[in-house]
Amino acid sequence: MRAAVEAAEHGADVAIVSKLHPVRSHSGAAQGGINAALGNREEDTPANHAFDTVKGSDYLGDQDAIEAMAEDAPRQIVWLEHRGCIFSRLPDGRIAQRPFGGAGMPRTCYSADVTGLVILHTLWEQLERFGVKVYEEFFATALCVEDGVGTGVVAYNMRTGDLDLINAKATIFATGGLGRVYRKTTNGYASTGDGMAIAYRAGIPLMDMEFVQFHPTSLKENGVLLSEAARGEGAYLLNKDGERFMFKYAPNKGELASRDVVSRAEWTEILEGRGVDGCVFLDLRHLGREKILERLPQIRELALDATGKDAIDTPIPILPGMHYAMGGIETDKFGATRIPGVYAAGEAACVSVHGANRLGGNSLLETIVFGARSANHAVNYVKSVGEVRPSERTLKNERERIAGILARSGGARHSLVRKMINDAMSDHAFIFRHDAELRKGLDALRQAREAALTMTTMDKSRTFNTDLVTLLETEFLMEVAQPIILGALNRTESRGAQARTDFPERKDDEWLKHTLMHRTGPNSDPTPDYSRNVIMTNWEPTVRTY
Amino acid sequence: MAIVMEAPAKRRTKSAETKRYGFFPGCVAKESCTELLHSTLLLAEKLGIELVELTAASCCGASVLNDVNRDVARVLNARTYAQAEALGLDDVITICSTCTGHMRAANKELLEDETRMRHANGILGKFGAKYQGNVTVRHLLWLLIDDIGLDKLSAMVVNPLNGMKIAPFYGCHIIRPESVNGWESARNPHSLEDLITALGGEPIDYAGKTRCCGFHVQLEKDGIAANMVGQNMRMAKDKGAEAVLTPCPLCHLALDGYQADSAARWGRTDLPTFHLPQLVALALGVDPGALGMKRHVISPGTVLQSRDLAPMHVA
Amino acid sequence: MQVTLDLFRYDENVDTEPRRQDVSLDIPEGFTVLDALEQAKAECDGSITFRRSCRSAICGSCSMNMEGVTGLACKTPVKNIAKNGRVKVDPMPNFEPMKDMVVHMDPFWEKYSRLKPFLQPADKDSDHERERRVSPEDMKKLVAVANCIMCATCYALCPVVSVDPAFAGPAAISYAYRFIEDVRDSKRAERAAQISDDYLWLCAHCYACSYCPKGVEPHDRIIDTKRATIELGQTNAPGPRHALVVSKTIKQSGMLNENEVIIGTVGRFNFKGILKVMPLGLRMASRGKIPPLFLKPVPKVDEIRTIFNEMEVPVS
Repeated sequence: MRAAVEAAEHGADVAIVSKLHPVRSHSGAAQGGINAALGNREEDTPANHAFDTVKGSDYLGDQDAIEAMAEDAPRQIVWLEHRGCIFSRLPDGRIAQRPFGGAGMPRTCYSADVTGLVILHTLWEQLERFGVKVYEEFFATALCVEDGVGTGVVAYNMRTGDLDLINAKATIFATGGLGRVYRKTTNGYASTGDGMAIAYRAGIPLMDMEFVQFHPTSLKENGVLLSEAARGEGAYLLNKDGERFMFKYAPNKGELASRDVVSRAEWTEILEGRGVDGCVFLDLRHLGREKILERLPQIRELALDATGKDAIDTPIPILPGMHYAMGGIETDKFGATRIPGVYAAGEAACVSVHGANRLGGNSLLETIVFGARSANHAVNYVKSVGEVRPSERTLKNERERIAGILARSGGARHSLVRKMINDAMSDHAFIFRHDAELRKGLDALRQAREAALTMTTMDKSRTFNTDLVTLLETEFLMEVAQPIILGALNRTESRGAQARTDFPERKDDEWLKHTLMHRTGPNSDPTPDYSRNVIMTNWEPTVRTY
Repeated sequence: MAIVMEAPAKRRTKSAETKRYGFFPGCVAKESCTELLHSTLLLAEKLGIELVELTAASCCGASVLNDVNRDVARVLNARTYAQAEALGLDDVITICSTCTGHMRAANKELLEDETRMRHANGILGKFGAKYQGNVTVRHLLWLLIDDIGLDKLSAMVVNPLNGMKIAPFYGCHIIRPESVNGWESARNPHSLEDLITALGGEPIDYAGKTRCCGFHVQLEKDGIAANMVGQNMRMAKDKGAEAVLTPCPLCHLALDGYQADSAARWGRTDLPTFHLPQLVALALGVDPGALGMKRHVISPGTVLQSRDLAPMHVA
Repeated sequence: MQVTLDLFRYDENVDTEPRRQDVSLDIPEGFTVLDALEQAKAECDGSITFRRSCRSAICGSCSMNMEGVTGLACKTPVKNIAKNGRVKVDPMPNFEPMKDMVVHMDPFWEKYSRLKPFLQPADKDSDHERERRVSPEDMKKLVAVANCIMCATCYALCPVVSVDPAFAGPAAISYAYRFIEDVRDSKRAERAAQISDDYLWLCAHCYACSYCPKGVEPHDRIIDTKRATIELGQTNAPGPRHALVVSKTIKQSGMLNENEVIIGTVGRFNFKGILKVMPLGLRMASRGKIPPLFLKPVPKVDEIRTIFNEMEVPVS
């Protein structure tokens, strides 16, 4: 939506294609905040922000892109505020900021614990303002490429059951993450890596896919996220003995170390028998009722709904859960991919600004900054090209392909294939990774891949066929799962969220480079490519402690 | 945010012990629905309870006063409670759902927020009044069930309703919002059904029983209240109802008054609408002719006669 | 735990009438209705159709009717609502069904579009290098509405919408309030006029929308909006006239004077309007059901007038 609004402000003819109504996007679930060096509470600079991000990325992020993001951040927050975004305020009327993990100072702007929601609504309001056309409940199935340039997408109209060709001189994938690759995730049902898989199928490599962030505080019952804002506001993490264990692992930052560090610490506590029922505890009690209700009401409510326990009186059992894909569609620092006219922004993209681990508060920021940047680039690109050739052949292929799927019978139920994918990933490519385990996971995925070729739907109708959509999403999950495991297997080091028990050290001599995965076909392994080196501008890698 | 509901402790009031209650009839029972007031007083006599009218009380605010000022209804009601306290009464009984809901809401705000209590007493102090915070507001329906008891009522019935098929119509303000009322589930209330059964009638279950009668918007747009009435009465009629029972005179006015207008869209329903105390008093043997049923637009005469409860002419 | 889902099944392109389907499941204790529907779709019948996305009560996709209770399926535990091991699941009321629990949402979104739901400040971006200053108190007024996830539960529950789709409905009115109360907005008066035209005053005070799953309390926001529109000068319509004349009669007599209120709401010289209320008046009069023409003020009415004066309560 940020991209669409930017394009609309520049007078471009722009439309959004989305499988959900825009306000249903999972960005609305982002709770804690958005980082920008406004310096409203303590003096701060974009350079500080950039350094914290580089360190958080375990030096895998491209520093030129990170600097661009940190530099643009305050401008983008002001842009949102000018359009009515409801940020919490300091007594003097400026935007309030709170501390977040891995940051040197309070830099995270917020609106209680519904920051994603208020930003989402502000952007949707701007769509209304500019009358941006929304192809709502259209499920994109393929990218059109003619004469080597992107010419739009083919999308399945969920209301009519038709496949439509949506022509565009420029296409931006802002399709979010892939959390549903794992069994338990903080992500919603819609996070199925659609854009990544579509771009990947069209020949754009996926980058740094092995870097999967496990959020330290997801609810045991349903994997739902409890924001880092809780720890930002001072919540403790406790083990079964009531010990604040984080200081053993991060003597300075404690609970506010970066997410990879905290998740590994929790998992270590649990593996070493200091958890309860496979969980540790998030303790808000000392914050007091008033602060909880004012700043963290949604967190309390989510915990209450899922556990029946009131965080005001009781520590909440939590564990690390799949949260975010640092990897995604390979782009440059303007969001452009290798195919002219095709862009990606947000979690779907890998610029890379998050490297091996993303800091809390940088994901909303990435969507806003790179949404705007990619749209700006695209607007200029569009002016430079003539009319695109409508990709009738892609439409024809997709119509035949989907008709073929609907006509299938007797094959695997897609829910079973999805379970095979989930089990492979959660059992063999979780927080701690090991050669033998990853190989098992790869084998399991190959089996799932075989089964995926035969998946069938029970619903054959043309009206709102979510059975078909779920099948197509499962195909997409299949596509994006393989680069994760293969990338994790090949990368013989530990960096950020990639923790190899057989290679516990970071190896800067060997691995200061990105992982690129190229698709080879529907039933074969991807081809890895390590030709893209990390871009470093100001900061040499040093030992990373919190 | 989810509201965590705790059932309010059922404290027995001093009034319940002494059978002497503060009584807040409300405006409608003193204006267009005097039959409600009279039948209430006759029922009280039959039950052997004393209703001490708070004669100097003001209107509760009728949910409308909030639209012009956020705080004034609370202060007006604090004044009413202060009068009850001055009379040594800790239990104010209402016979109107709107009064119940809004007086309870005001009381809740006063009791839960010291600032608001101080503010109200600051104004009451200008004429020497003070609300101490000891009053409970309840509807007559709750008194009947909590203080008298369904068993006892059932035993007192001399004129059973002979299986009359009655649609209970709760309306809104006696059940919603639950955080204010909370005496019974607002989504699945059953007190009126229980009462109807205890009096020998047959309660009808229909989706309209907790829906709005449209009274408050009858003058805002043509036909709106008639439509809301028609929709609800159609549901009741289709389930076999012969009459309606409501604890609220505003609901009574809308249901009784607008069925003639709703017939065009919803078909004829013509369901007579009893006030709560009318039907209870009738079953307990109060003279039907004294219950003011001649004042209803839709006469309950036919249904009363068909169930051998009263001759046609009393209504 | 054993449960049977009793499902509404319908496909607008195929079926003339909805049908029902029983699906029996063995589910964990803590399952929500959405979890159960997901399991039913994955394991029993892939054609069961519903919207869902976040499963944590923030995306607003999955509102539906469960055992007569409309709300978010992801926030409704099966064990809380099952009756004799069964849960009846239907689409939201007040919407046209499309397929099973999926309904046509367009009329709901249309209500928002009418609001011009975007900030319309008097100043320009270029006037401010930084964010505008807004006090925490002014921002806090918007917080309740900021929690709205546009799930349409309140709209589905609204009895006025059910008989008159022209009514803006609780969600859109709350969103209008979000702009009317925003100190950064310059179109407050225009917004007050617009929402009044969209029948703000048709809210029937029924509190059906008090079941908001996100604590927006739309019923309170509607009252806030009405007050704001009166402050902004929107007083010449039956709704505000009604509120102001009720206020006047209580101040005068301590009681709500029914005759005065009817005349004052319709408009004393609005003969057409008066003619419209005449039939009901005559029906009532023919049964002797008329309020007293003269209402004696309650004892100590001066105390009541003191309250009104002290609090500067508007009256007509």
